[in-house]
Amino acid sequence: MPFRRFDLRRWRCALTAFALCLAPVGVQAQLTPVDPAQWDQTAVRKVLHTFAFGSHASDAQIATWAAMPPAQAIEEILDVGPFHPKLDGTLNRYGRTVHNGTGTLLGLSQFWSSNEPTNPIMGETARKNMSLESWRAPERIWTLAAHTPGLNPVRQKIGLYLTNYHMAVNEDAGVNRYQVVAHYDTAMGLLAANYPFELVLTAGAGSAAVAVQYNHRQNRFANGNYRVNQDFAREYFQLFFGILSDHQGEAGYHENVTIPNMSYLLTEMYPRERNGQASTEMVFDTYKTGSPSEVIRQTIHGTNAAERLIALAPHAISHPDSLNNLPVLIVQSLADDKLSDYPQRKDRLRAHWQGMPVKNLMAFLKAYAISTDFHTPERVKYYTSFDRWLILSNRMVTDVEDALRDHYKPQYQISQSGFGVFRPHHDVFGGQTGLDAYGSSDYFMRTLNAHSDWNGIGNLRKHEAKENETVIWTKEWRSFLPPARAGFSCLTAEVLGEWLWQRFIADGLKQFGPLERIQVYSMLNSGLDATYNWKQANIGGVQYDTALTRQELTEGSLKNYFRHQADACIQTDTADSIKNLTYYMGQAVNFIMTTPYAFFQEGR
Amino acid sequence: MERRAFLKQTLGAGFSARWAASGTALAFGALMHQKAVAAPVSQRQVVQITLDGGPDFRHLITPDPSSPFGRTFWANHATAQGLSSATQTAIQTRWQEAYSPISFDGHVFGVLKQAAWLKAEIQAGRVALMANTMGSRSRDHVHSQLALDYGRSQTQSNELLGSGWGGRLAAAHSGGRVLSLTGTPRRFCFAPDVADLGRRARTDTFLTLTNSRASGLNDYRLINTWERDIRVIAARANSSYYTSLQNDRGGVPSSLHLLLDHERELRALSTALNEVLGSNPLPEAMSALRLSRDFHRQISTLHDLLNHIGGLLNMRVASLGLGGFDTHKFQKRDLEPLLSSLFGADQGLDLLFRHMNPAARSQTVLIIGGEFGRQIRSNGDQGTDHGEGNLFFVIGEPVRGGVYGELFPAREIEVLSSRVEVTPHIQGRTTIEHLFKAVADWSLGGDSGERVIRGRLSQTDLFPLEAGVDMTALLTGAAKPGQGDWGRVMNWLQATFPHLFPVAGMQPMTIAPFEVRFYPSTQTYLGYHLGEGRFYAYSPSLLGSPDVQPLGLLSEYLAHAVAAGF
Repeated sequence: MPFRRFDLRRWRCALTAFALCLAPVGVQAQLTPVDPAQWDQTAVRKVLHTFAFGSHASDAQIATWAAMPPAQAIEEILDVGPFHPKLDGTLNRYGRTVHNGTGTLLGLSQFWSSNEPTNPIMGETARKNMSLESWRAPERIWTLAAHTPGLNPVRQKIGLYLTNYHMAVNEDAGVNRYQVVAHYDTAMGLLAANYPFELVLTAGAGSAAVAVQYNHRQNRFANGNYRVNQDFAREYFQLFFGILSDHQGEAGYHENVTIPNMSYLLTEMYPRERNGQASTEMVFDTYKTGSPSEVIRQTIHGTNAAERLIALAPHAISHPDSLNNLPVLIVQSLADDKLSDYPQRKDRLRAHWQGMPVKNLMAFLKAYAISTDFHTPERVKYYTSFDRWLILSNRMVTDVEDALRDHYKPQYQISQSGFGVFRPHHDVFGGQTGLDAYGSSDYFMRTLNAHSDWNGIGNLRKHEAKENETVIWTKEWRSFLPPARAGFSCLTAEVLGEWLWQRFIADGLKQFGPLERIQVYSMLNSGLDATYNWKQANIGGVQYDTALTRQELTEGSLKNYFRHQADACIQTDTADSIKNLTYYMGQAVNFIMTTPYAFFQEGR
Repeated sequence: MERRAFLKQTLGAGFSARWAASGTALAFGALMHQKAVAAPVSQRQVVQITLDGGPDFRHLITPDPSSPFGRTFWANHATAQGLSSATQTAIQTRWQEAYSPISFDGHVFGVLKQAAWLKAEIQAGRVALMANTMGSRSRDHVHSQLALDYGRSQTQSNELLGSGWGGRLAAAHSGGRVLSLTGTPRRFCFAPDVADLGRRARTDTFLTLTNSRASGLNDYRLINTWERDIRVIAARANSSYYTSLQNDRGGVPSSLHLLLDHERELRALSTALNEVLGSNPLPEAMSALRLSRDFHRQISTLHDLLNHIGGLLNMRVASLGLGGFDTHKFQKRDLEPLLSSLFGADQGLDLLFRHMNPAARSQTVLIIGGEFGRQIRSNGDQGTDHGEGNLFFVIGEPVRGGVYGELFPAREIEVLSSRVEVTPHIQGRTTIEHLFKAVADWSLGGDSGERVIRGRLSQTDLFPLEAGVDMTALLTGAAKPGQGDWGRVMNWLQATFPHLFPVAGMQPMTIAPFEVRFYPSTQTYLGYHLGEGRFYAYSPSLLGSPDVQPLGLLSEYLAHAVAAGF
């Protein structure tokens, strides 16, 4: 059977030159880098929470980046290669090998499911579950990749966005596990190699995953007629390139010329096999008929669908609708749920995107992540279930082993929330959004309740693991703890509480007020809630249900007791105190993650 | 009843529950301190079931292939019906196997046999078929879903923070609430900002309830009697902390206030639902029901709301959703199970209505539709592609059944042979605003103005309405709010004790489980407890008590009211 592989690389240079020719001269105000004085550790942490699920970066690394010029720091931070050593500030006390040199999902699957002696996945069943022959394997592999130090959570965050939101494919729609993983790895490989965004999108458009998702694998010319569906012919423009066709000028043309012709363009292309690794290879047969297509008022040449998709890409990315919508859609999805309230911010994003001679997604995101439009208190991003559970899990990790043993169970928690990776909630329109999460009392309920059940709290308190009565893992917090405050002989609950808050919430302690502090201090000191402690001690008439006030804690009758909790020493000198430290820190983190501030991020 | 007897009864009562002076202050959170009692809905209910993807209702309600229209339609739609060839024989066989022909309101058409309940309801006159209805002209799913949820056909594609027309409708009822039965609430549910009705409010009272029998926040008092259980510790810390935040909302960024609303509503929910539903098990048939995409969960929750707890939550609007209607491929295989789940005998809606109490049934209207219709020529993949206009179904006892608009417009036959319009579809002739306003007016018992559906609908260039369609005839039948038996008694009390209940300026409101009338000039409240069937009054100055005063039962007063001509 004649077929041609989809080889984007041959077209790269020509397209780059084409894009340069098309690039408009930037005349509007573009993104402005944040003042270096505002580029502090909290700013770095906000970037990491937004684009790296919090990451495993050490305090020292965060301080280093905060001390660098933002443009230089962001180049290091937002790297989407397979590995990101600077984001790994954890221990490796058990000498684990996380990967075998390939950080793709396919490579990780092959290594983690293998019998290689260095495979860190323990147990036959666990290894089998990492094989792409196993149900839900891509979700399992992706989550572990996003959670395990030594890989790259930035890559997995952007990969999740590209394949579960922007170019979403859905295992529940029949896309097989090999195809899902290939779609992901191809997109991230091209992105990491700095290919223009239109080529990343074009690779997605020509992928087996997308051909199965929309079923244009069946599109063909037969018996003198096209036998096609128009599903992807429409969504290529709308979802991939932001050409929405919302009847602002050329509705009839779009519906009666562009969409039908695009459906004809998407013919004679299909996966080589139905299942297995070969199902990821696309066959692009020579068209059986047809002169060049007219699509979005451009004549598109090519003897097969691959050639025409590549020929169409520069026109699509430079279409006025795309220039207008794509930067806004990207930022709304990744970082800003209030963007629609601020037209000037949208205009700056558009101007910046339009001013880029080559539309490079990561270059755009880097400029945005250090801009005044990211680091503004106007910006609000509500966390999705993926964000929230992975930020919690990643910031809990102090040793590679914590992640490899899945102590914090991010995949389980995401699943319990009702969501799944590669099974986007809105199908091709993407997974759960931040606004979805914020608006749903059902999601809020599931999340809060997860923090008062055995799994939720027990995982965070976990102190050691045993096998056959032998301790095979212990939690290690001590080497990460902040130093005692000047003038104090010991680490106090206040210092430790602030450190935890910044580690998990990353807001520069902006929202760490007395109501939050008293519960965190109480948990750190005794593993008990504040009102229980004070009721037991007959302090201030406090009952279990008492709703404390900021005023009484800071100025009123409970002020001294509050201060006492804040200044209490955290003991770490005996085996029991170390164990208790783990328990109590877990409970404090558990409380922190139930506060409203664990559901969102403000830009400043 | 003499005035003296009434006051004696009022003043002599020892009931001590405090009735908050503000109408909305007695919202659901107050249930935390009261024992919940079953409260079926007693007010008009609007239930929107959104079918995501753009359903091909021509697959459900289809023309007779022997008719002139049907002949052309079937020839062009055959592959979506699973037919490999469009021969007359194949079409006739499929028609006879899959469809039940009916003659209704001057039209002859077939109803998919798997939708037997729908057919029966059509024949019973409880279904309005709203032909050629259109939301956005865009065929973009997301854009069109926004338009549908906002009830605004002119919605722009990037308006992400608008209010929903369901939210606006509930807000127009004092203290009314939307219940979202989908885990991710549709934009339809969000209430409007007071200053800008088109924009979403920062705070809201709608509830997401995906399973009425497993909902609410973990209550530390119920987890374990051991007070140092780590789950108890966590839940107790949470309870105390959030109560503090609720008392100090100003200290929390407004961007998080919706979370506080969620917490407040959920905190009380588990206790209340357990109390009520514990003694009202689901009917066996509903427990055993299993539908496509777990839609049975929404149906059984809606059953509980309408029959047992909707009044408690002051529900006025419910939002359900079912996806999978974007049938570009294998339409017959994929679409028919969904239609069966909804409309089949012994399936979702059939069981819901069968087990709905008569009062709720008489006051509930369902709107069923999707974001757009589909093309009338099937594609090359045994499916159909995006179109524009579509049918909407309005179903319920208050509905005046019939076909509204031209069910099978002759224009479509011409379009099918057009070389210019190569993606032929159902032309949208009536914008959704007309339909939704008719439903809003019915729900509110009068003209809703622009509180719910915005824009002057008389501007037919912006809001087309198909010639001959009369939306004022769509809904009828049920009693207007306040005109039921308790309303008659209230009217009688107003007439008998005008110094207590002066009609001028009276404001009706719902403070679940009470129906309340507030008389501003005397600062007096007159309430009727829907669960107890008892009247209450509150007027510290005139009744001399700071507490809500119980009056008599409906059964005691009704005869007096009737005798007095009310």
